[in-house]
Amino acid sequence: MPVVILECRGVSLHYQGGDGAAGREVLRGVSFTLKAGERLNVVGPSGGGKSTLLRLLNRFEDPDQGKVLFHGKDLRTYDPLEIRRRIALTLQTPVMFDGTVRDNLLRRPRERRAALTEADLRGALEDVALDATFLDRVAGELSGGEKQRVAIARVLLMRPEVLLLDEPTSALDPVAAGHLIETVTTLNQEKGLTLVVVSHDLNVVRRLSGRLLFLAGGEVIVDAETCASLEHPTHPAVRDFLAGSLP
Amino acid sequence: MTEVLDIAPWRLAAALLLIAVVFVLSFRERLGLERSLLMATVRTFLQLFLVGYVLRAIFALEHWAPVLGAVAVMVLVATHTAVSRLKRRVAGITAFAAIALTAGSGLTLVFVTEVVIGVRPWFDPQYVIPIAGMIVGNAMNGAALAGERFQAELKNRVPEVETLLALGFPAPEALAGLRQEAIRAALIPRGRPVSDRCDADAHGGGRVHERPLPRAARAAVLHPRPPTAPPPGRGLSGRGR
Ligand SMILES: Nc1ncnc2c1ncn2[C@@H]1O[C@H](COP(=O)(O)OP(=O)(O)OP(=O)(O)O)[C@@H](O)[C@H]1O
Ligand SMILES: [Mg+2]
Repeated sequence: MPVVILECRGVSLHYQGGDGAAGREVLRGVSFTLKAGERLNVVGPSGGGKSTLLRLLNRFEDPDQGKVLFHGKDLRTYDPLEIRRRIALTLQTPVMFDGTVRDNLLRRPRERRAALTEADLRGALEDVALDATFLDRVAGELSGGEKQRVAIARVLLMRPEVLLLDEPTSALDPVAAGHLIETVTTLNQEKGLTLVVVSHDLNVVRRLSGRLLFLAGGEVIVDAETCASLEHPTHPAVRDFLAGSLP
Repeated sequence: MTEVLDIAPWRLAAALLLIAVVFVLSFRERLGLERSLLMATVRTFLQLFLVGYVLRAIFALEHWAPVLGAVAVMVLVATHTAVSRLKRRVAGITAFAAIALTAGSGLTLVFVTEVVIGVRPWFDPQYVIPIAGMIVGNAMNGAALAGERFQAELKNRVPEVETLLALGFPAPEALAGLRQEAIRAALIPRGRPVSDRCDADAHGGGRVHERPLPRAARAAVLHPRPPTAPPPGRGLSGRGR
């Protein structure tokens, strides 16, 4: 019986508007649970709050109402630095720092950099299906897909329990996107890494399978097994989304 | 103490001639600066007039309290000016700027008047007030430039900062690069090259002209090189790649 690793309970959040004015609510009463080792797709129309939800899970934002539980304890009771190590986030557009891929993989607080060996770096690249020759490539000259992989390898070196990926395939062609999803699915199946993946691309969603959370207007509309919810969409918002996504 | 020169009113009026030169230049080169020049001249004239009276009162009192009071007013005005130049309000920033400007310019003032010049009596307004004016004015500019640059960098480099935070860096370390740029901007010497001023302008930092210049004039001032060549200097576009 897998344990619940993350749980949102009635989470609401609004961003501060300009000059401190109260902004619109971006998440409203969001509740769901995530079990250790699960793969969760987060899908929904643009502006629906998907990125905000990920930012909430690694404490880039805090909820106005409700709470997020990690291993049954309020996320706010942990040290944020510990949370960001255990619940890793990659941004939609990967940022590569100056220097080589090795420099990028080593870019972390001093004590943790010291603990990394050459074998760790090779291992992390292998995890994202890049060979060791990449270590000495200039990071800024990689392709979009390679950058995305290096960004994932970079956070994998923190040995996180949960990996949050914000639209990891949006800059990739369908073949590269398929490979990337295959890679992270392998990490999930072989290392038990819990995955939360935000995506617009239905092929990517189907390929990841697992569970699906459909977010629209800041609310959870569907929370169910991925394939079933896409085969037989019951909610009109989901049907509209599927119809709009067809090529 | 050596004797102070008395400047005759007609000599003071002659200073206006210098402004007249700029006025004529602006007119002939169609720089469109006449109005703001006129305003600035009148404003300066009134300000100096008022300040003159206040200073005369302070000088007459021959007591340290009004001198320190004048310096305190300078620091308060400098704090307000520096903070109001920030694009975004930050909670507690006024107190923070006041402490920084008081400590920074206070220590410098004591050092310069006591160690470098050896002013006697220590509060002699003839020295303390103009020197304080220069020090506080520079501190204000430095603080404002640093604040403006920090906020501009933060706005441009959100993904980079968030990536560092996501990699487990504490906030001060994730912001270290921005802090460095801010300090650099504050410390660049005044007679700095045009390319740096362009850089500052791109951030809305440099307020060289009160009114927008006509296109051609602006291009000539900002890009003395052919406009096709990108202005030299460290642009932000290449960052974080
Ligand atoms: N920093 C911010 N300040 C104010 N409003 C924000 C901020 N970030 C996001 N928003 C607003 O919150 C809402 C949800 O944004 P979010 O980025 O979570 O949506 P999303 O589902 O990820 O969209 P997309 O698919 O386009 O990435 C949007 O309306 C957005 O404009
Ligand atoms: Mg998003």
